[in-house]
Amino acid sequence: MFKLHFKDATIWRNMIASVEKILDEGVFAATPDGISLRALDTSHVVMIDIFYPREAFIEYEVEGERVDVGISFSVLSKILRRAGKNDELVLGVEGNNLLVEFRGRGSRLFKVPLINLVYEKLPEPRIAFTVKAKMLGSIFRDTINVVKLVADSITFKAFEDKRLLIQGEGDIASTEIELSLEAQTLLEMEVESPDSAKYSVEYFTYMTSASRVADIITIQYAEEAPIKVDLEYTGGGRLTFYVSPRAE
Amino acid sequence: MIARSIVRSLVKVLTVGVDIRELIPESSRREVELSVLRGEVVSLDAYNALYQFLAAIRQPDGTPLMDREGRVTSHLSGLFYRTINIVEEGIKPVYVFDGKPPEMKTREIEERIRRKAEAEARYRAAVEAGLIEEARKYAQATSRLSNDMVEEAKELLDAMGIPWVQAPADGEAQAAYMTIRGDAYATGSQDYDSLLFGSKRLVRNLTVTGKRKLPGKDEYVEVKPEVIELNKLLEALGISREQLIAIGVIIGTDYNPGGVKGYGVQRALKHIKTLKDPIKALMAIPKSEWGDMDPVKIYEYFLNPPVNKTYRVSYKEPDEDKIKDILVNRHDFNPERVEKGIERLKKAYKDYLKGKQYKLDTWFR
Repeated sequence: MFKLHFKDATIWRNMIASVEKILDEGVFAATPDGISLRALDTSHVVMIDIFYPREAFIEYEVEGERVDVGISFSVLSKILRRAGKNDELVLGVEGNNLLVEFRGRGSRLFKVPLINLVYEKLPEPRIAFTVKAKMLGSIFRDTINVVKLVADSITFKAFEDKRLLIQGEGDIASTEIELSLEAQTLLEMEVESPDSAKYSVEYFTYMTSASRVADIITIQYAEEAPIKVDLEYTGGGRLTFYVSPRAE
Repeated sequence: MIARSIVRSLVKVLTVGVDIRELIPESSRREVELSVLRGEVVSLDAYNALYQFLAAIRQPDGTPLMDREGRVTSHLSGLFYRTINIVEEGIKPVYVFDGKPPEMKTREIEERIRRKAEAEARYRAAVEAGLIEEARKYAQATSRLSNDMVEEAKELLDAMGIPWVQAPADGEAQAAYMTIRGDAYATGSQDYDSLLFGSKRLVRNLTVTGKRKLPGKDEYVEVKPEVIELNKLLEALGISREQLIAIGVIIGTDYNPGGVKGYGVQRALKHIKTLKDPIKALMAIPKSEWGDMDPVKIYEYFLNPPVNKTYRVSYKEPDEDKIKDILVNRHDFNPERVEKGIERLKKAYKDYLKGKQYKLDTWFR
């Protein structure tokens, strides 16, 4: 038995739209505690980690210790794109198919063949973060959208006075965005050491869909180390991206 | 000079190298997406790639691409566009060129000269008879790379900002050495020789990925890169690299084409496993079976080949004017297509070649 009933289908629609850019396919592991997925992209530059607790669902039924749901993200994303503003989402498994149902004005049901994938529990990367900044999803998204206009790489620079400078450098133009507690563009900021780190902007553009519906976004990084971007959703759901750094 | 250029031009044709294909268990081959190699340096056998381009990039009747003056340009077209496809995937290619073939290789070279002459005669006959498919097949086997063509390929790579390394002798040996030293993640070739030379990983189908025409048919199949890890292969076979070399020498390499009569890969593997010591295993085969070849000398060549240790692998910004000069002004390539290629190359340079993209694996340890 596997049945998940979620209030807002557009959250999953936007989350999976981001995941699809990074992973072709993957396995959701549903346990009595909640549903999770952790996977690396084929080039091993990005890792995705999703956890949605059972409390985030209106209805959450998982039989036994664990149910593995292997799916193609491009197929799932295509279907979830049909989700409207007031649609609820119901996921189920029937035989070898994932059932995706939108309940809003009437009901629409899709059947997606499950993929037989072996669930492999990946470890969490071990990183000693030195900078942590919390902001609204919309601020994060706007920042990325500005940087991607002109730049290929994105640099985060932290200052002791709780400012975060985000720089984008391109061939023709460059940009600099300052977020701070003072300007209330940051909600929280912790600076253990005023480090800076550089990443390819491409991977951040993949996060914009998911950040559209996220309440709070937390970034954590350290010099020459991966950045961890946590997107928090209503009800306690979380989507995390780890992106490894670049060096010039 | 001319004689040397012919000899060098014949160093590699399409189906050369040690044929240990059958020895490699399915479990040791891994079909991968190109993106798996993102951020990795791959040392490519330049002659192997150029010959593939010469053979594959042709008109339906087998005529290669040519400029206004009738000079063949298939190799430049392949080198330019295929390299761009590779770097667009974030892979960092370094081309390795063969140097002087060792004396041991003369017999293989003579054999190739003979095969080419035969193919040329058949090609002409097929053209006269109007058999297009036949003509294409034989035309592919007549591919020749002159010294000038090789020099121009190097010039084009320089203009593109892509590094190349001159090997003192066998390019596969040099490419393998670069993986051993950690300067390259894998060797890229259709041949298996680099595994004998100790390459940590071999990537096949890298320069041909996409669609490949089935031989003798008007059909195409999708070709994906395939990775063979030396360690895993040796483990699966339960042998050492030295023993793998001995197997190669028994079944035949470029230095002793054909190998020992009556030995296929399975029999050679069994022979090595029984006698264990690779040199003893080679010596156990009667001298008369080797003809005028010294198996131990060939074995030692694969174990310790001459290599260039002072190479550099660095990526530079593409020189737009130089590329256009070579391809458009000198060889009549379509200016718009070349322009588009340069744009793609510049973007790939910025995205992948310029800096280093780390992988998350470092933080899992």
